[in-house]
Amino acid sequence: MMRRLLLFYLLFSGLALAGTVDDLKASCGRARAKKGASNRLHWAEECVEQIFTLDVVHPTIKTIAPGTGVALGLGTQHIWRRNSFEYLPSLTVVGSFGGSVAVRTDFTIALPPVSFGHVPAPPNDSQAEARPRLGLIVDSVDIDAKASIGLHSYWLNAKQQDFYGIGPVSARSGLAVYGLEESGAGVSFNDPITTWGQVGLKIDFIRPRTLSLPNAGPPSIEQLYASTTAPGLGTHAKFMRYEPYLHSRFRFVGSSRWKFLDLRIGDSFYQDLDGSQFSFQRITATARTEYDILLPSVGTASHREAWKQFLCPASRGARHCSAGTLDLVGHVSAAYTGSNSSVPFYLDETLGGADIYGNDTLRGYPDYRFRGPSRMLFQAEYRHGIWGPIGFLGFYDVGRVAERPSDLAFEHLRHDFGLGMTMSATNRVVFRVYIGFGTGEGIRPNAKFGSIL
Amino acid sequence: MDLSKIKHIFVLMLENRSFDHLLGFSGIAGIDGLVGQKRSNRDAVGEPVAPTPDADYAGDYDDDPGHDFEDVQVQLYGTRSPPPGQQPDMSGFVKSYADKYGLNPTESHRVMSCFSPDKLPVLVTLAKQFAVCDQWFSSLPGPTLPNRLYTHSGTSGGRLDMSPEYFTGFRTIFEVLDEASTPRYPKGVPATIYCDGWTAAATFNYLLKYQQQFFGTLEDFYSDCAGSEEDVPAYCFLEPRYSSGMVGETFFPQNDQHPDSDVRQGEKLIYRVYQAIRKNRKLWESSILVITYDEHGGLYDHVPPPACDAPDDKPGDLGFDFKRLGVRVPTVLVSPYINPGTVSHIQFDHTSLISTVRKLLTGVWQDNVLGMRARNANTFDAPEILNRDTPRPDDVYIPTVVPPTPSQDDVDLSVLQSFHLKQAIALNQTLPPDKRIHTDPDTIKTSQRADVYLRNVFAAATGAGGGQS
Repeated sequence: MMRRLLLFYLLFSGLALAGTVDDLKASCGRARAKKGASNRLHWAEECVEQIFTLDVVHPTIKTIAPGTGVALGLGTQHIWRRNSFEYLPSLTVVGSFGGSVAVRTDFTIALPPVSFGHVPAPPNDSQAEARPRLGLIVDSVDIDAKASIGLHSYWLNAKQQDFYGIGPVSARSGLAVYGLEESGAGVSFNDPITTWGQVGLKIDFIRPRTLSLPNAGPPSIEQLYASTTAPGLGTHAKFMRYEPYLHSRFRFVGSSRWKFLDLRIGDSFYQDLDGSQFSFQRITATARTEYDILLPSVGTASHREAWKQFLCPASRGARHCSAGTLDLVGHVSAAYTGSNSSVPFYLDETLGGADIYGNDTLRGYPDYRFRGPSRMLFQAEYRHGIWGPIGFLGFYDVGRVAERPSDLAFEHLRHDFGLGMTMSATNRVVFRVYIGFGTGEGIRPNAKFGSIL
Repeated sequence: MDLSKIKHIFVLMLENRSFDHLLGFSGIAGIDGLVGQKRSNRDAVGEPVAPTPDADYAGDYDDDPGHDFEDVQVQLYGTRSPPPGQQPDMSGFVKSYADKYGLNPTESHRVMSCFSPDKLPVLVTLAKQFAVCDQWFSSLPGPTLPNRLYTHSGTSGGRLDMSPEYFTGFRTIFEVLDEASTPRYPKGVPATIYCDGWTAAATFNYLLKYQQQFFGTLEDFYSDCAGSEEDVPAYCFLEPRYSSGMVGETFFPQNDQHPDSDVRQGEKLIYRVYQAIRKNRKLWESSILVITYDEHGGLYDHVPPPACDAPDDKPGDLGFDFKRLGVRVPTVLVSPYINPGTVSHIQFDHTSLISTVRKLLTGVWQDNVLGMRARNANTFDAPEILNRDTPRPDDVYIPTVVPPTPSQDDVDLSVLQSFHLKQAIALNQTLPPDKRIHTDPDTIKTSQRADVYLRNVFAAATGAGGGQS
């Protein structure tokens, strides 16, 4: 299987490279020829980026699910415009060296702008000449800022997923493993209705399957757990998920050190299509904000030592310098079930490493270290650019899972902290490597690419 | 006055209007304007065409009057190739406009249209209540970018064109201030360019190196002014919005006053900049605000540009030796140390900005650091301009301008915008891959689309503002 995948990868990589051989020759050639380490590094970055963003087909590196290792594959996407509509189809196929595989397709249609009316601005308000009362955001570059309809489907086979039991005090010695095969398809609609908010609806069909792993190192899940301690074990349910959501983003312009406040509230209904045993509702709320750290400083750039300028570049007015950015994240999810239903363990929230969607949780703990229907998580992350796409990262995480929403309290909290590095491309962090500690369970190094989900 | 009281110099540089066009009919006592004067150009049939105070807020100049070097030669001398020694007589504005677009005589008369003062209440009120300079000339008889280069660097390196790629390696006033050490600023004089989506200065190498210090948005400027006076940079260069476009869900109109945009948007900008400074008493009482225009935009003015020093010995484009200033532009100086009704007849050009900034903020200016022109330029700290020892206690009433809701129709790229776009494309290519904007430049065919691209590249390059500011 892996040999076939590797052959597939090399074949299409070859095709992709052949299509843009001139561009690649130019940038990769410069990376070899340019004098000076920084020049060579710059063009090497350019060369690598061109390889990984080739239109129409490009190689890609992803994480299929936590614990599955690095996955390599191919991605293809192409945007085209017609009659004020924008169409963005994409396909990603990846496979890991451990045998995990995933395929995902997306087709996004960004709708043309519609404006329903304008309110004249107050005389002295030059912030806004006209504020649409109700309209669809138009940004001719950022497809995400437009009202859009999205179709997607995926299939993944994650060879080994960890399970430590349910609840906030599960023991590390309770480790068991299972395989996860999941497929899904859905549609989403997203409408930015104001300058600061959008509404949306996601409808998905989900078909998860847990697999026994009798030959893995740790025990397979059914060897240690039963359906009472791991709800959903041994059953194969199918779900429809309906999630209406509100997403607001408040930007603080001007000299405010708070850059934005991002709020998302979603209400997901998971409908068990084979009965009601695993139907449940989960309300999630996530807030994120970013704070620019400015320190008192004296002197313009040329009057400050290079190391000071490196660590804390002078800002406007030269009385402060910029010492990095602090990200604060708060997340709470509460799952509600009927009296005779429960949340299947593979749809539980998790803490430890990253969750299945690739979101960082308690980074000092192993992936999925804690698992439960409900979760609260608070994170503080400090970032500071070092050079070009490379940045420094320090973090502190605290959180807990809960079996009932009423158990979500500031008790039995788990903490960690850590240090690491980030690498960005196209204005996003695409790779993180860090060491987490302070958990009482040892030091945990981790490296993570973007998630396929 | 005690010049040490001036701790902040603000320069707001708008686009492409001549002195006579904006203030010639203002009726301000003592200015060299048009009221009571008999001035004219002849049109293609030989009829004299007098300037008239009938310019409209917008719509007069669907065809943008020429202001490249060759156009201005015609405007100054009546011919594209004047013989050596010929003095400019300002006789060719109508001819230049007619020839450039093949206009009939009536259409070509529009270039002589000037504003009546009631249409420019903010600029005219500030000019009357503070100081107006009626001998302030653009630095060269040519277009925007080389004139703006003079504003920052005291030279255009011999260039007269709008090619963007040469806007890179010049030594600028910002670098000079940054390196300065004075009793007041022992560790450098802070200076910042505040703009609204784009500045041609975004490609200066030194400024990009220390982008957090040198670049901000106009919203940053308003916020900075509302904060502590000490946090406001000593030298602030302010740039308007050069094109209309959406930022998030909000439509922002062009406010640089470049023909044919609505001048009321620029009036509103001037008002807001003035109010931002005026409302912070400590800042107001330690500042001068200069409101000026980069060049005349091909619009009529009757004062021949005088001879001047060349900035250096470099040969110029098209045989031009840079020993002649460009056409006169309106410049208004606003400070609490200026009495109402002040009119200055001192000869200035844009190098006077950098000379005065250096003089007032560093005490060192009569050298060749920014070229010979700047070394010899008159400075606007003269006692006939800053003619008060104590700050004025009065609060000047300025009528509020309420422009109509602007059209959000997308339009073709303007000439200036197309040059800004080329510059932004070139700048984008120099950015690290993680910051680069991945829009195919070939797909940018309209003004609003270019506006988004410019804003995004500026934000990516400088960290200031952005597509969703």
